[in-house]
Amino acid sequence: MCGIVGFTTFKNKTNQYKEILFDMTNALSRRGPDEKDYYFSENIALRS
Amino acid sequence: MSAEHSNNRYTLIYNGQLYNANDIRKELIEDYNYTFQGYSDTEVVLKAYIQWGSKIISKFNGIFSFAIWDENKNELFLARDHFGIKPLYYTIIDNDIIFASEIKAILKYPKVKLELDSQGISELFGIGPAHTPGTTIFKNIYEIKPAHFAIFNKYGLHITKYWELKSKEHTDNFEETCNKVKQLLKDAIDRQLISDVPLCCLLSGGLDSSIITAFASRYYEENDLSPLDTYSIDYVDNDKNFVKSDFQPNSDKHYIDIMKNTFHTNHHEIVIDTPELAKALEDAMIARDFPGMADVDSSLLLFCKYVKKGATVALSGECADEIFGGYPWFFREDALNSNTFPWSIALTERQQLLNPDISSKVNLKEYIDFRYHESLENVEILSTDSSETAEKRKISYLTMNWFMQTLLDRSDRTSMYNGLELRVPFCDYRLVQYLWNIPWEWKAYNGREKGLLRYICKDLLPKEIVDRKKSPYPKTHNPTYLKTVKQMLTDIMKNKNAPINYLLNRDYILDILETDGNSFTRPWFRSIDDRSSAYGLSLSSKYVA
Repeated sequence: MCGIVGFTTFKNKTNQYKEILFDMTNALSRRGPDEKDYYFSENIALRS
Repeated sequence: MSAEHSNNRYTLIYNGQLYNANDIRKELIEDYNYTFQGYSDTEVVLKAYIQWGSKIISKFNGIFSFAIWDENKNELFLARDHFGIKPLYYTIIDNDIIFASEIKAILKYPKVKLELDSQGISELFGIGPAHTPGTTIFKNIYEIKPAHFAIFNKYGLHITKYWELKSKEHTDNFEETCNKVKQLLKDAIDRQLISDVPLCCLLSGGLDSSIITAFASRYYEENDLSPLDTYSIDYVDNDKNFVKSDFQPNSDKHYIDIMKNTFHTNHHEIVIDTPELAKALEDAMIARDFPGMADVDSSLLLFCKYVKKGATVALSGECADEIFGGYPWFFREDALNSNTFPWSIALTERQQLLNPDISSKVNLKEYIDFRYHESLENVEILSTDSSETAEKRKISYLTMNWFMQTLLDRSDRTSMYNGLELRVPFCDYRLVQYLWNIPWEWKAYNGREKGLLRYICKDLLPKEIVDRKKSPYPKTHNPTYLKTVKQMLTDIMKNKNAPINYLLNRDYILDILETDGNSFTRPWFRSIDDRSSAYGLSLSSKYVA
């Protein structure tokens, strides 16, 4: 709720989306507790 | 948060606060039969979008930056609030978009490269610490502009402006205007006082923060929440070291005492010393991801750090000067004639600071001129505007889009670095819109800066506060600060191969050090001290490179 991160995967498919999202969210950890709210589907990865 | 609707799934990630969430929720329930799980504004944002789509964004009264994924359309919707109080950056790599609240998170995505090209250098040294809306100093990393939303799908990115200030003739008379402004201000503050976590007001004893404190204190009394917590910042030995100047005529303590005694707030005074202030220069830069406002950033960062020990939300008086006309350049004859951003005049010095190799490839004056004139094109002047009103519209526009933006970025980055949420009631878009069209003579009522604001609050505050001349954000006057940053810079310069040498003119920096800053004669940006800013910028340049 204090920071958002995400990316589409139309072209850049990856099995690492969980790890990437985690790294991105981690970089924002000072903004406050993250929701650990993930969403993945075929072309998107989101986390807040 | 996800929701299913009409055989589709919508997923929202959100950062912000919606101050009219209750009104929107009510409408969705009563008129459109939505059901809600709880009282979060996150749910309101999601369901409002599901119902109305992008049309609803301009009606959101709040601070926000969010993304919604539409599963059926396979489409991403990104939006940022009217003034860009909450951040949203992105980059596009091979037809995919990567976005985040801060640049540092984008850098964690593989394949993102950090590059500073000649535009970035022009931005950093020509415009900095301000920036051209939509850009960052890093190549290919952008921001969604304030009051814009964007749609990204397999065909690419499409950006739309959903709101802007409208110029129109002001028809209310003076008394009606005063009542309306006061009512809008009260409404903005009252909405932003709603919090289920501990809240406080930042109080410098200046007009703006005092107004917020006064309204908040009254609200607290009416709702049995007293006492209100207030916080101020000061520096060790500042009373001893304080020296009057054009930009800073008085020290705060006297006025803070008046306020806390009048409103019986539970006041906390944070006192900061030089070593901590200097050390936090690096944190402040990390918070922004690039060089900012030196100690003006680091002191707010420390302030927020200590405020966070007692509160999770803080109300700040930021933005009143921009919308009510509080800065000296609103009053200076030559502000528009200077043909450049009026707060940033040390152009020769900025160019001289560059390493000769880079300096030959980058023309700061040309770049600044380009951005300045490009920006002015957006100002809507009415045929009925007097030439003074037209001029003031331009100054206001520039101030809001460049100067205020820099301060808003600073507020978000330094506060969120400490997990503190800063709210800025003067940035309520309805208030800003209403003020935009008020004749300049009324805004400068009684020939004073923020004259209208003083007039409408005269019964709310002690006279000394109402009359107090504008004083910028409190800075340290402790001579040890300059000594400390001078030493920090000296240490960096000992290494001829330090990255700073690629960007900056080594000889000029050594000269600044030797003459104790006296060879850099004019303020870098507003009241950022010439010497400390030169040190500060040089220091932070070491990280950029």
